[in-house]
Amino acid sequence: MNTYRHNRLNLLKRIMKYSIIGMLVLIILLPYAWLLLDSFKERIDRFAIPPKIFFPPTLNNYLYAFVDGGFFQNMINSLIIALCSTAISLVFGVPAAYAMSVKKSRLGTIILFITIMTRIVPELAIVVPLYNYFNILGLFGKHLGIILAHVLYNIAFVVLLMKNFFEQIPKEINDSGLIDGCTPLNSFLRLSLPLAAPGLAATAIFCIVMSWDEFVYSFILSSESTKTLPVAIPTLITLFGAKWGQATAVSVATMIPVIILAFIIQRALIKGLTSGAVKG
Amino acid sequence: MRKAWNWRFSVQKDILWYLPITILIIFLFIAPVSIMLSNSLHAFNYARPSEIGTYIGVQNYSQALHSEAFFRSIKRLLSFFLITLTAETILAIFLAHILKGIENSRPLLSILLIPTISAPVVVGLLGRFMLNTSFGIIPYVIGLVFGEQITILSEPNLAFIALVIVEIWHWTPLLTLIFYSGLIVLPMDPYDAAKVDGASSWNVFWYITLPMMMPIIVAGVVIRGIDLLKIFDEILVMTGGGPGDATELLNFFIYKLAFRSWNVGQASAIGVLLIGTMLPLTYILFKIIGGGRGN
Repeated sequence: MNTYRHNRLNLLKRIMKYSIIGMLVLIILLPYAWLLLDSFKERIDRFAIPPKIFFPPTLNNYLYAFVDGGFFQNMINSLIIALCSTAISLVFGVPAAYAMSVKKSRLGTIILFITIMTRIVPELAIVVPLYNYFNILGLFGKHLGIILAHVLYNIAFVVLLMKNFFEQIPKEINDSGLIDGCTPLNSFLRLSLPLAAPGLAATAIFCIVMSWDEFVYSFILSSESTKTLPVAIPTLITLFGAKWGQATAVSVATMIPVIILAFIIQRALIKGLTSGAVKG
Repeated sequence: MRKAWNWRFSVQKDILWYLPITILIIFLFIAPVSIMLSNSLHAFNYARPSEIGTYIGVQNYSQALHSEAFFRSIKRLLSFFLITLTAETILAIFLAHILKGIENSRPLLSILLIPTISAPVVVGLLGRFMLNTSFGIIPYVIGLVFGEQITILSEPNLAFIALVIVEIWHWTPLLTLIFYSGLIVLPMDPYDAAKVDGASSWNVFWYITLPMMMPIIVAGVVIRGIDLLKIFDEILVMTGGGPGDATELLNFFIYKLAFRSWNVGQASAIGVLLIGTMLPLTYILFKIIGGGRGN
């Protein structure tokens, strides 16, 4: 009798658990599904009441946005900026992360503190002086300006993530290199860096995703020819009317690359996103 | 020669390792912050070009602190912050707990990643699109259920609530992932002991899981809190700060001040105040992160 009741209670619990999970999945995915569906709709189907689930699909929204409209250029801009800013962030951030993982020093602590500060200060506070500063330096509206701003945006993630990855390498490996007569630079390049390669790749992809999605810096510091995809989206929705078809198409195109990357490096990405919160 | 090489790249002389990032930080962070500090002490309003560059002491600060719109935007940000963070934290603890009891959680983790890696602009667009009065699916469903057509984004309170809900929808998955990754590495011994003692599952959660999770909850809340205080992109796309100034939170206020009213001086003053308030947060995050081997 008792076990019977126990089993029934367990079954009930399981059903509840899975229905909550099912609801969660629906709540997360339905808006995206609706966006995707809408990006294949003609104007007349979009405004139909009741909303249509079945309709003759069209690629026109994508054609208007990426062939006729200038959004292909925005995509190229996003790509250039994401790749360059990631490369620069790694070159500047990885040596510091390595030094922090090898040895505690006052300088390292100060640098770590300031690096964390760059992560915390709102982009909107920094972009106000950056706008004047880049105007003076002639970087405003240039790819390089946005790339540098994205380096500032990403550098804290590079340092925190890579410090974490380097710390997972046994200290003895680094020491053995030094004993065998490696210079510290050699020991870094030949021993630690190859061992941290998977971490390096994950950090790079994480930075690319962050830069791809970034808005504030790209929005304020870009000119017409250097706009990135996220910056192009609001231009389609103005006070005077919205080009919903193209807006949905551009949004889908913004989402797809990062979703693919996310599924390739799921574990590493979770690590990046939870960096700081979870050790090891 | 060999010795010199060795000395220069020795980790003991760690300055060289930190040189690249130091240059970067000076050029991209210290310099703009210094400019902001200087701008905040000078008249810098593109609407009054003749006065630009005059030293005016703390006038920008006092003007900002006497501006009612500034305090309204702070009050809105704080209520937005408290409501959203509380809701997200409770929901995420609950969801992480459920997720732990699922055998194959990998596909679910992937689904939780989708909102997390979505650009805030896209999410803002999604909100605006689904809440649109003429074809949005949500007003349509509400119309079916209550038999009444409502316009959400042109109603001040509803627009604010909509923004809160969109933000919760967007970021609860990340917090769930953070808590989940902390939950699965908890030691099993206390659970075995509790099982032997016949503790109820609620008691196990309340007296064992929750206290053990506390460090990760604090870390997650700090990280999420920092990003919440930065909210801007979603507002710009979803409501444009409106209707009126109902969804104008602090960052949006700075944006309007600097790039629509072109009062850079006052915007800089607010920026300086904001950085000042966020310094304690830097210290907390530094303490959370800095516990590793290196530091």
